[in-house]
Amino acid sequence: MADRYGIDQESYPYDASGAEVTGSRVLVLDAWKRLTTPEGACWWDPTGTEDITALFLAPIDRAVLPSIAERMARRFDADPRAEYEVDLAYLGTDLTATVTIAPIGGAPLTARIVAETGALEVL
Amino acid sequence: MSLSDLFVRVTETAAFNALVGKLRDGGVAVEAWLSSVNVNLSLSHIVAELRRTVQDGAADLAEAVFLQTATGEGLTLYARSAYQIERYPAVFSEHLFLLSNAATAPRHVLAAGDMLAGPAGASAGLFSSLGAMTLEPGGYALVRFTAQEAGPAGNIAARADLRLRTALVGASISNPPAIIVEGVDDNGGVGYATISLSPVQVSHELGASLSVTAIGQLVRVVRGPTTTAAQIAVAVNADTLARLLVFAAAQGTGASLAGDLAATTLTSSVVLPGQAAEGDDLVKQRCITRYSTTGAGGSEEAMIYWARALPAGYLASPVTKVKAYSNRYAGSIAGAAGTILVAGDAGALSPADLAAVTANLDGKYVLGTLVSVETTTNHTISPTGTVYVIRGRATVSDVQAAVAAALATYQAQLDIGGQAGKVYRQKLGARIEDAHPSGIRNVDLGVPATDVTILYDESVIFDPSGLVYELVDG
Repeated sequence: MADRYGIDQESYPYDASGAEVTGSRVLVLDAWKRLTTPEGACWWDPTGTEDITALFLAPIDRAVLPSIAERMARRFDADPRAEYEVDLAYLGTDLTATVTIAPIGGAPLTARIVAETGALEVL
Repeated sequence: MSLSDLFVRVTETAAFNALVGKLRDGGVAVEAWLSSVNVNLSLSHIVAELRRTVQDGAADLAEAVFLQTATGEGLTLYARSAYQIERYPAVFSEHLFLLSNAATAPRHVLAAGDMLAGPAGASAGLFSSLGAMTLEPGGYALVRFTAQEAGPAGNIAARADLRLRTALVGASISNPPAIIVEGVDDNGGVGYATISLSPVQVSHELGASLSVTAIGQLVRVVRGPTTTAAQIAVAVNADTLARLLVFAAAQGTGASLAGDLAATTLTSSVVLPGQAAEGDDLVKQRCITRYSTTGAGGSEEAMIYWARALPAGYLASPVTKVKAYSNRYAGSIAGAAGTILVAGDAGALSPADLAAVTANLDGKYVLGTLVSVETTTNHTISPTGTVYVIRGRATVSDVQAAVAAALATYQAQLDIGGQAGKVYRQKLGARIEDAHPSGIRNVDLGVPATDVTILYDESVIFDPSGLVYELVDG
């Protein structure tokens, strides 16, 4: 049954069953897809995605991480269902993006994406 | 689906909307796809794009099998398969550039391809040298260059501001408007010899024994029967004034008296004009007219076909415009006769091009008739007036280039004899004004003040150099 966050299909971990997803899980999956898909790959929304895994091998100065995080956060600007914040940081040796999601009318939740593998973890 | 549906193309957006509409009709909750990265929405876009690709491919194929609808690569393939006609390729322009070396500069020895040159301040439109060259201190050399990019963009104007892109200490390059080349003897039995200033031969009037004299603006080289070209070159170079006059003549500032120098003096440094690949309409014209060549001969369409056929030794036909007139010969009304008028995008053909085209037509007309193959006379229209450029929307140089390009296109589109024997003033103004729609506010056209009458045997040439450009605030 659709709710204010819409209906999607389960896609993490890779799932060919087409299981229906509703509720705040839709927002988590959106955040994961939005930050693991190369910019321009979705030609109907060419600036709506960015691939965090491309950052893994790139020589990145830690000083620019906040500006990259801000750019990533702007990928969510067109989404009226929630407010999003993105923080990029090294946890040990892993570069990770922590996405704080504040759904409209729902409880906040946090998702973490690891740059090296694209792995998603809901905190 | 009917056959005509094959010609209909679809955009990805239209295909997507159609697909989503059908899913909605089928009860799928498409309104719940609230994100652009929704899996089902993404799949729908991918399917829509696949449909667009397939439908466009079908349309491409359908269009390519009919002459009326074929374009681009489809027309190239269709013309080849159905008519055995090959589209003329784009031609690289070739120019003679004059290199000069400072007296204190070193000697430069260069192989073909060693030198690059191009317009000042431009990164594109480069030319590379075709010939080997030895440039002596204080010497000159005429070297043939070819454009690196095929097409008319390589047809640069005389006296264009050129720069060598290959570093040669003390050397500079120019694009003279007139160059003396090896000519035929048309001056009362006086011979000609080659002066080996460069790989391109430069010739001068010769007499009976070797001597070099500079008289006024005339350089007279007199030689004996066994004098070699190298000896003449040494003699000319040894005479300071003669050498300077040769240089001046090559720049078009000397040798003003007819016949003083070689019989053939090029009025342009263009050796081979650059041409764009043959356009679709011209390919279709050759396809349509080809069938007429299989009849008894002599029809108007057959004449057009042979006039545009590839002359021997050419990469592309110099002819883009043809008019065939019956009962007209050498400008007069005559029975059992015809006149074929030919021209290129730049107007009248050179004598060499006209001879080559004429050879194509020899024997292609009905026995017992006279056919005169003639080139047109250029009718140059030099519009004057003010082009008002909106400040901040475009630069004057951008607008100038756009106006030149628009008039070149209009010139190519105008048939021999203009449109109904005229170039309409209003249309000329409109072409100039629309050359840069956002940058040009308006055009105050002075000349021509009325419609210009074009004779049946004239090609229209536009010279936009008389237009003045003025920046305005809006």
